[in-house]
Amino acid sequence: MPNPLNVDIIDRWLTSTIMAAEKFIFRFRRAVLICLGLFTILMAFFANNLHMDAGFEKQMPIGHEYIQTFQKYRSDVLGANRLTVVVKSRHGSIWTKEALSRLYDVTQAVMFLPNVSRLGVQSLWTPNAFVNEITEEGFRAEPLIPGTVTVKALGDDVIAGIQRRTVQGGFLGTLVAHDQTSAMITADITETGADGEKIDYIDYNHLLETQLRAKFENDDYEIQIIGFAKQIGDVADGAQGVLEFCLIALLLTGVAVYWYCQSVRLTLLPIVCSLASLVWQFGTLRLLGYGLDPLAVLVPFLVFAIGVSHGVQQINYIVREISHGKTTEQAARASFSGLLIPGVLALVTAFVSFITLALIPIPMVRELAVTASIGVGFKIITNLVMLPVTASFFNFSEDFATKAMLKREKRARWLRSLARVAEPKNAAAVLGVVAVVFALAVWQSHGRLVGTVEPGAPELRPDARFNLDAVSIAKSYDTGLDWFTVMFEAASGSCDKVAVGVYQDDFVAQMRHVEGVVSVSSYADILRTYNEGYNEGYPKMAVVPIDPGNYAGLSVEIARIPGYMKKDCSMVAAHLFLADHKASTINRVVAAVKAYRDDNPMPGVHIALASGNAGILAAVNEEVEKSELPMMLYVYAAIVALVFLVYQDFRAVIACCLPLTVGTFIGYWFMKELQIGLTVATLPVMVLAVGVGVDYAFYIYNRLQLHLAGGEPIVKALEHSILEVGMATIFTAITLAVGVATWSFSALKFQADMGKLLAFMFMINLVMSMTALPALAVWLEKLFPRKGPVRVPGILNH
Amino acid sequence: MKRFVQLICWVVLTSLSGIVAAIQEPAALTQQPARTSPFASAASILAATSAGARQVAVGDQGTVLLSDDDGRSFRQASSVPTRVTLTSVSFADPKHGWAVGQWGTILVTEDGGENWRLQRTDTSTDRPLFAIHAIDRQRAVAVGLWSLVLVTGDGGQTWQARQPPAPPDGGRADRNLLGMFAHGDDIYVPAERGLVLTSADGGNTWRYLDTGYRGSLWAGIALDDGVLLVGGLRGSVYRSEDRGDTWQAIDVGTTSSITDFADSAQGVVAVALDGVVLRSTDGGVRFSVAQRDDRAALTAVLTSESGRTVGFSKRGVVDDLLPQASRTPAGRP
Repeated sequence: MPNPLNVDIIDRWLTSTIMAAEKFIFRFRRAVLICLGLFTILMAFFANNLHMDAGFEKQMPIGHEYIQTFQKYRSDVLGANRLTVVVKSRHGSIWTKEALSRLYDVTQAVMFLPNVSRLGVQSLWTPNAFVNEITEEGFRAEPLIPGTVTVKALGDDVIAGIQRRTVQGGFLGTLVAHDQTSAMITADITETGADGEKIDYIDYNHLLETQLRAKFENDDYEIQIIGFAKQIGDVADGAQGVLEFCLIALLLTGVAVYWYCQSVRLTLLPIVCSLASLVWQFGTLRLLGYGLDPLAVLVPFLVFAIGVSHGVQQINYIVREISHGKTTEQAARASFSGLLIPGVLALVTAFVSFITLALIPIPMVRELAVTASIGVGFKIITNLVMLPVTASFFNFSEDFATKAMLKREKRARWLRSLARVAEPKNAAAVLGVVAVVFALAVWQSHGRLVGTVEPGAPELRPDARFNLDAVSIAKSYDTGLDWFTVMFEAASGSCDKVAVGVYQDDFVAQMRHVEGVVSVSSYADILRTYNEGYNEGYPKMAVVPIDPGNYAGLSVEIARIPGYMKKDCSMVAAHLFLADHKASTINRVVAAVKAYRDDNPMPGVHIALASGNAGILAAVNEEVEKSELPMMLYVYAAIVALVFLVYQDFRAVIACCLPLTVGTFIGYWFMKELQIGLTVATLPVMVLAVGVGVDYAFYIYNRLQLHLAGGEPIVKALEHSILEVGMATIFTAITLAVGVATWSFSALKFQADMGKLLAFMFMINLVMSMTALPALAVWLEKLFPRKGPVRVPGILNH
Repeated sequence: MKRFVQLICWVVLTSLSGIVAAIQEPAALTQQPARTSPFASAASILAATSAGARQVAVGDQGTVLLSDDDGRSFRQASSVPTRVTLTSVSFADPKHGWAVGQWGTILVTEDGGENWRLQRTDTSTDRPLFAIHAIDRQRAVAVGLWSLVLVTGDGGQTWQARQPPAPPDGGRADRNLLGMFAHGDDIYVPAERGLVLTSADGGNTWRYLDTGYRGSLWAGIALDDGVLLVGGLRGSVYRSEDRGDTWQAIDVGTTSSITDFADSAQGVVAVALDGVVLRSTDGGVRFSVAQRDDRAALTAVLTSESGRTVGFSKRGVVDDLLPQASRTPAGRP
């Protein structure tokens, strides 16, 4: 086929470069190893200081419409980073002296937490909780608990008065539970404190535990805490447990590698090399000033796994060469130059996959992209250089190698039957099955979910304390964990523009009945309440007043309550409290808001989305969904480009990529079946699965090219390739899958999900590369017979 | 060159007007037709009446609910040309009736409440109407904020304002007129400051009756024997056996404000905010009081000829008004 590049020049260049590199590196192999060792020690020093680091802000997509709105009004509406503490009486009601005193103490404790704005704290005991009392004399705003009442003075009469005011003021469901057994304290957390220090959520969570839970929870009272700080803190605590899983996976990998190569030294080699690059990665992160995000804590382990998988290929190569009569050093050199191309190819693909993650404008994901791509970049050195160089210092006898090979061949006997897939008849059957599965997967994966599928904190398991608290609070209060804020923007000084309030009132009436909206609290609602209140509570006056003076007067009063408007009425807000933050719920609400905006345009008023934690989640979901396809396309484009550059054969491109695509769609199907949504945590897994999956294809196709170039017919060439690298490939895939499958036992649900998904993707990619790839290769060869001999870069041929 | 300058001027002016448009004022208030909503029977309902065998309830968002099965099920009226809060409804006969509400809105129907026409609206001032009474097909009286009184003699084609006299306790005639009921030709209007206005000539001239109460009276009823009951703020109920000349305060045992009365063969029922239901079987001399567990803000009550009672609240139709209201509120036996 015509090729714009001069094949021979590339070949010659590649060959000579690799030869030169081999010569150079192995000549100074001692120096190279010492340098790498010193570097590892240095990095270990830095890596030691790496900390877990979480952030609320860095989860927000930069430049997204909703986030811009959120930033613009962050000081005017309920902060999205809210802390909710509930004091619940285990037996009986909250209307006792003891319970109210406890509530007072907890309120005080919340006020004195760092990073909490004291004026924003609200509970029965704070002066910003007041009721508009209607009496024959008129309308009077008084605090739920008058300033003159102290904890000591809480008599039965006083408590009865507080209870009455709370019920009348409509605070059941907001400050006091519907069943009146608990009361709520809310506070806004500012990420950067007064001293300019950024909050450390992990410490903060421990502070919440010690200052609130430990102090005030006992057999009579329960302290429930929800909010981002608590959530991410719990996630981080759970993420510490990831170390155990990594250790288990490491051990499993070690045992498996030993079983495979029958040598302690060869077992340690890939593991130590992979660990070295992990150390470098952590050190670099520390030097870059990053921390380890609890939500991305698995990524380094992923990178480690990739490293082991490449290491095993190296060992496979070395042992095979030794059994062919080479010395260990010669074998190591051969492995170095023989695997440099497929290794670099595979790692560069993984590298590119990770880099594409940076396309999502969410700082946390970008951080993850950097973390991971640095790790993969280092792998090129540790696995493709450090490993063979170290191996060259060992001295394995041909005897050992032959025995090892024999043993392996005995085990791999069944591979012969697998290799029969290369026979055209079988290949056709396999292709048929794959086509059916592909069609099924495409059909079944349709309508898979973006975002979180389950209620509660998706990172945590349903029975985690946080989620139990969240469910309990959501059941007893109208204002649960999840809310979506819509802002009505008008010209500044719109305080007498009654049409704005009337418009929002109409909007709220529509939104109240959207499925998933539990309750609504808005400027318009308060206008109604106040207007009714100023008219002695007469229900027929529960409307938005259209007298501009009256409207403006009420607006001034509403501006005193935090969270509903800008003082000049250029923005008035509506908070939609949601049943949960499932993607389907959020999408429905967003769609309803947008539909209202489109169907009911009002000149001079703009309905802006969005704030509240659900508003931010909506933005994240939209970005993730929007970025997925381009990311996948970039990853595939990179693979296509690299494969084509190296093999200069469109058959190679198709044979390598098509099985991967099938695997990706089966993965989507798997996600849908297991109710795993596409999130910031699972998207990297899918992208990476493609990057890792292509590795298997590279190693097999590499051998295939070699045998084809040697003049073997396609069927024979395939059979040989499968026999030679099949075992190593199957072995690594299973090892990795078992390793990540252990995450299923993680205390964190998202880790369990990632583990399941990743294990599945490793296996499916393996199956695809051992069945669909050879079958496809055979038929491509038959359908498009080659005119000339197969070309491979010269180096592969030695 | 001149043309060019003109062009520049035109461009500048258009873009300026574009900027002006971008920061333009919100549109003036206009009446919009009510939406059809599957949740209409959960809308805040403020008043209800019977139109022959049919029950008609009105409320928030221009909601008009109709029931042809004694209030067991409600459906939304076909077309209502307003989205404002409707506060009162009254029928002259099973087909002809009026509804009133915020923004001085008056609606008329000629088909038993299925379809409504807008007869009046006034957004130049914030004077809502709170009550309507249809005397016959041609004549009706509507009352509202600051002693707003409107009468019609031509089926609502024209509405004339009527000015009540200065109240007995002095000052201008600006009392809020909060309810309306009739007995024979006498029309009664519970109002602010414990006053009840009455008219014997179809709403053209009025005089004041003083209950002796100083708070607002929201609702009232004339029993078949001419006994008058009015109720309002904080559970106040007053009773008159002499067409309003003298009143007697009735202690009904609640501090929840009374919003509506109904009368049937089983006795008098009154509803109040906070889910309070009052019942009397002796013509309103004594009331028993009960409170619903959900404390729904009850706003209207209707009894049909079959004796079935339906309640209405800020959360919509309350079908099981009485069974649930069995408990006596704590502290007030």
